[in-house]
Amino acid sequence: MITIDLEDTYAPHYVSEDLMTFTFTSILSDATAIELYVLIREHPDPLLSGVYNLSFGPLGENDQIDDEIILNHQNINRVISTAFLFAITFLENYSHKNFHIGVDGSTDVRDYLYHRMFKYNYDSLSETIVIVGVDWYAKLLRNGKDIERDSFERPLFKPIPEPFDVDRKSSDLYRYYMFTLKD
Amino acid sequence: MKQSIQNKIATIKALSKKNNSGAIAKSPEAKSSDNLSAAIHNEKEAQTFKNELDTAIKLAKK
Repeated sequence: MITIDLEDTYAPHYVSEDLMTFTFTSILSDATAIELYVLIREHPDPLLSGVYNLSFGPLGENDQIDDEIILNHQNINRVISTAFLFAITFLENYSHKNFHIGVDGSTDVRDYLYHRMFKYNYDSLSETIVIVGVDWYAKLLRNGKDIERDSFERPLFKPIPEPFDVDRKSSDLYRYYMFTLKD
Repeated sequence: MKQSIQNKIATIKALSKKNNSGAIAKSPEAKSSDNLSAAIHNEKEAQTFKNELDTAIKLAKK
């Protein structure tokens, strides 16, 4: 289980002036040091202004964050806590703009990690941030049998956000997780 | 927000303003698409989503 403690974090090596890029060093189980990047970037959909995505990990190919790599950190709690402290710093700095940060697990494993992390740290995180889960829903048509579909006959899913449900099982993942400053 | 967290945030923000905060060798990029992009199809849906997000946040704050 991941325990978030915003008071137990790694110090950043680099912080960009806009507070959107950070680096810090984590120690792996085999005692090697690895530089991790924390990136906060505008959501790729231009229609979602004010929404930013959080990603973190080592640099992979094409200078992209490799958020699918599996690393054995000596202190995973401190790694995750550090990434969230940086994200909260970004939100605090732009609090007058009421930004939101989203996390989209690149894999089911990472989504599962995020879900459990929010679930088991809900009380402590809720002192600082508000957490929202987003599900996908498709509209049931009036015939009661079919659902709304696009021109390619694919189900037309729409995102529905709700306050993060701490009683929801970790096996029932949201499709997307968001948070913003509480105050 | 706890004062101790506010102090840490202030330290990080101060570091961001220093010229010598250690330039990074590369300009990393995040991935260019995500789940949410795939579920927003037009401006109307985006606005609806934002309104529902605001409502969810207000509910979560209660």
